[in-house]
Amino acid sequence: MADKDDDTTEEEETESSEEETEESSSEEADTSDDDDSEDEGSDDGDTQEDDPEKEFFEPAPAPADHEHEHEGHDDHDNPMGHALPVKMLGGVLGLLLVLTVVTVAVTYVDLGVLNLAVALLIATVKAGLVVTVFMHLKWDKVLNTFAFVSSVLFAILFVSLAMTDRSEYQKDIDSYIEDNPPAEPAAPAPAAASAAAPAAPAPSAH
Amino acid sequence: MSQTTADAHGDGHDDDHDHYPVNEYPYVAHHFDSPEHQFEAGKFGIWLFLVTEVLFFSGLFCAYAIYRAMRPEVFEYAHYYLDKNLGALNTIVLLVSSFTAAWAVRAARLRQKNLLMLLIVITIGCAFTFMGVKYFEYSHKFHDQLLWGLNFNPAHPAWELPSFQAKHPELYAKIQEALAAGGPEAAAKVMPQPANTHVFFSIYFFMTGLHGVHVIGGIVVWIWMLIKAAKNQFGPKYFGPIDFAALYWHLVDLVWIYLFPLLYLIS
Repeated sequence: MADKDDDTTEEEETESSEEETEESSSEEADTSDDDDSEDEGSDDGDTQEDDPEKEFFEPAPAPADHEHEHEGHDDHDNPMGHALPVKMLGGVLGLLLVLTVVTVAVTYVDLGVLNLAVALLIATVKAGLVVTVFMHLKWDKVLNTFAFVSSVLFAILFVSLAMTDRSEYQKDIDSYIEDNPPAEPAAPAPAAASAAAPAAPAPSAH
Repeated sequence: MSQTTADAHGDGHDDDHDHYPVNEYPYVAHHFDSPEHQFEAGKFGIWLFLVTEVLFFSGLFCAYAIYRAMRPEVFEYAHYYLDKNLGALNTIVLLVSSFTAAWAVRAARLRQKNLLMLLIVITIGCAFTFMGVKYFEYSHKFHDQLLWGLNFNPAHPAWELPSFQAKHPELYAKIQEALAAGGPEAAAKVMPQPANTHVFFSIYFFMTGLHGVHVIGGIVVWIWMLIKAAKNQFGPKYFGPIDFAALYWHLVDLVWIYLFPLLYLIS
């Protein structure tokens, strides 16, 4: 393969894209500039990566068809996936930040036991966003998803079996505590306890 | 390309080492057919590593779950010692760094070298900010002797903390009455410190400590990636290392996403 040619064009293109990156520091202008240069510089065929962006610059003859085509194209032609648009990543970050604010806000409302459930639910939604988009499992081979999901399932199995086991022993724990009551508030204020020492031993000695 | 690989296999192993690289890509190790092959293998490897990490942390989450089920009052009492706002700040810092890490993968594939380096620097900066906030929290806890096991000897009972006073004003008023009438002893009777409160801090330090070790590990990895990026090694066919570093970094973020509500947001 014409590797040398490839390399040189890519080098040139890198420089041009660097300049552009420095010029425009704002997110959106930045990406569109770079994508543009990418398209120009690497027409020699080894960049399927920028296909998702091409849509934005090349008027598609039939938008719906093109969209469809492009999805299939990505799966078949580029096993390394595609570069995720900055807008999508930024959107996910925004959602994650909103959910963080929500989960803090919820603690100011007393829902009883539900507080823990809501907190865990929000955490799980956040984790789902990170895993599917940031970790791009959504577009990866199923094998990776399978590995990760199985680890989470085993972790859940581990914790829930241990919890079940613990609750089985709750009766024993309760009866033990009944037989051996704890020596009152363990150490609220050792100084205060020793100050009250003369009075304290008498009742506890019986 | 397929011809090259066929040759490499056909000639036997002796030749593999003489003709480095056997394939036409200098960055593809000789035992891989193609950049795609190398990338897929590397990615599955990193996912297997993340699987072991999930199972590794699950032991601590198990300890947390069991102790919280056994002694909910300990968690209710001890969580006032943690600063919600600092926890939220650290959550935001980690989320932003996760975003820059995900963007770095994009920049690496599109050969945006300067942007890539900038994003890695921001990610490292966020990691240091996280550790800085943690250092502040830890040093405060060491100062007040909010520590594990026998070292637990809190300088202040929970009702002296603003976080408690804001949340339970009525109970706090009662405690103040008792304080006026019978001193700290009487106040401790209104709101006694549960037995074994120190276990909460054992769990807290172990979980956040192990997470912090992962953040430090992440800093080392990102510095390595920064050096590789500075050498302009990444492009559309070779961005695996950035992708894998980012995957690891997202897992560190994932663990924190659960630690934050479980430790800081107890109600």
